[in-house]
Amino acid sequence: MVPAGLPLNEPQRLDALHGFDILDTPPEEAFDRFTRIAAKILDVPIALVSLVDEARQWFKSRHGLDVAETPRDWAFCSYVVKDDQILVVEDATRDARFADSPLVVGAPEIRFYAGAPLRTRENYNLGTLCVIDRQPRRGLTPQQTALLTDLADAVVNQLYLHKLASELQRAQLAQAQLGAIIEYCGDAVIGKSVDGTITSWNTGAQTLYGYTPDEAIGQHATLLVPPALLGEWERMVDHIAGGEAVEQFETVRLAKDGQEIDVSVSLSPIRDRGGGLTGFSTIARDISQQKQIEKAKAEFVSTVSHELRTPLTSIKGSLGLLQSGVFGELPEAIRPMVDIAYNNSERLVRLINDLLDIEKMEAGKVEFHLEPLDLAALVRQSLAENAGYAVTRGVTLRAVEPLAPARVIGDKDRLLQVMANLLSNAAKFSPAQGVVEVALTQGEGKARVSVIDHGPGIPDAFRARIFQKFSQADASDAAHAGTGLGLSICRAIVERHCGTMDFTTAAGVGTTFYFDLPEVRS
Amino acid sequence: MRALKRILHVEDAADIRKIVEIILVRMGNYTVLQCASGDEAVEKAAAFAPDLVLLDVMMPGLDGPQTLEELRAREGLRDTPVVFMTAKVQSGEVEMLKALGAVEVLAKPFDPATLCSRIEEIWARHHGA
Repeated sequence: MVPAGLPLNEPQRLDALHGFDILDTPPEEAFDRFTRIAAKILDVPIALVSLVDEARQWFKSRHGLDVAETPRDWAFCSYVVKDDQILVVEDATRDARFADSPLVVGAPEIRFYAGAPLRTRENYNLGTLCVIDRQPRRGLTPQQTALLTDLADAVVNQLYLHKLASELQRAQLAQAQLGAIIEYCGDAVIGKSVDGTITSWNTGAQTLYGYTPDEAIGQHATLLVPPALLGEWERMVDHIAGGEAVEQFETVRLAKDGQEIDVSVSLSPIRDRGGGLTGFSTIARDISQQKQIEKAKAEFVSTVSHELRTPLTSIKGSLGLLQSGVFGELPEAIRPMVDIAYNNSERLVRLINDLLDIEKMEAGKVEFHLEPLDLAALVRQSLAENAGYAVTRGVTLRAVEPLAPARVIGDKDRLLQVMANLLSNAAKFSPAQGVVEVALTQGEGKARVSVIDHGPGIPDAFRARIFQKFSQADASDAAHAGTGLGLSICRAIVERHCGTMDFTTAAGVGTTFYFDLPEVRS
Repeated sequence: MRALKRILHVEDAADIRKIVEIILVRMGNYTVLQCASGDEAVEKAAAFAPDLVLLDVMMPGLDGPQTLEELRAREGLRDTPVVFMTAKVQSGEVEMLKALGAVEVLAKPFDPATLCSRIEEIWARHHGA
């Protein structure tokens, strides 16, 4: 037996074969029909659809043969694959290539063989449709050759059909899975046509709004919108029509029973292949519980801080009176104790104020009075306002000239609060006689304010949590210690301005805190 | 501008009344009447004829804003400047209290050392000085 060798495009050919997903699948009548016809018409006992992979020929259909596969090296079909043309062997015992083949010497004792290539549309030869006889025979007539070739082509078509069917099955399975996910995801998922008519309605939507799919589908989406919010809804739809998604927009929707529900909705446009808008999908999540918790938390913080402030007013007032000397000069030994108590009462006040501030900021309850601002003027004002505190630390504040002529939209008082925080931090961590510099630069449509100190730098271990609440590297000095909330408040303020805040630091060199705000053209 | 002499202080917390009394009387030399509730203030204010009222916001019974309204309705107190003292400095609250007619809103806790000077500033500003 002389093995056939491999065709030049063997790797691609194998890829193509595996792409049909047919190897080792059960027999199918659609393929058996061809082998039956071939055997009948050519009057042979055996006909096969043989697919040749790396190591074997495997029979998708076999008429008159019990074996499911044989080694590739034994296979007559390997020659058809290698040479990519029809192969006819009249008497294998007289052909040097096959005379000692186990398939000739032993079962099924092949004498006559004729195989036509199964050639794909991309010209990969996957195997053969072949007929076999145990008796030597004369070659095929031209009509028989044409018939075998035609049948082989029909087998290839059947292979494509098989491939399409399995792809379809996979797609249907994926779609069914996706459908199940959407149906039972817990959120209300609603499909709408371009004109706002509801086209799909999942279980989550039924649970949230109370309408069954039959009641909801075909209705207009404004069914769920409280009359007062129709304007908002229309703006949202316009936004979608412009091609942009709306993400996690908090609003109110109307349930079937008339109840208003706090929801977070995300809307996305649905497009056809050409990019045309065919509708939009809405995902709505019930956030009423979350809203209640937020409200309760806000009330709690507000109440607690009020309840804390009242006794604190008495404590700070009493200590302040002792300090003021209204009851006479304090004894030398007592004075430092009163100072400590007074400083700590002040720190408690700052803490409560900051806590309230950040709580409101996080709840989105702080109203920002936005106006066009000359950022350079704001920086200079912050330098003037905070110079006094810096002096008490033996530190000088200085602008890095020139400050860029940047204009932003912002809340002046809140941005001054950010600057005060950054400047007092920088002063606090500067060496005596140190200088804190403030730069204002422009680039890529943003204005950047940098507050630069030449202090010890931020310890490695502290860097990752510097913007977290109650994070302080060193809180040992009560008189000047912050509350550990300043930077989280700063960052929250900057983010409410659509800006970002970050820092760079190097041990022994210093730290730069900076924030970027979107610039506006004057 | 005449000098500020008579201050009516309305506050339900006894400790704070005591402290404010010491500040106003001993540090500021004012004549002070203290009331523990809005109702008491409404009852006694006209007879005391204060130059200025320091008014707590959150009190049982008549609260600060209600007390202010009652005082405004009384002869002789219609134009008396009222300063709120509040421990609940929420956003919008200061604006709201000023809109009710208060000339200023002071946050609690206050600084005892500067309370008198702040009140004098408010008094001067109120008289357009």
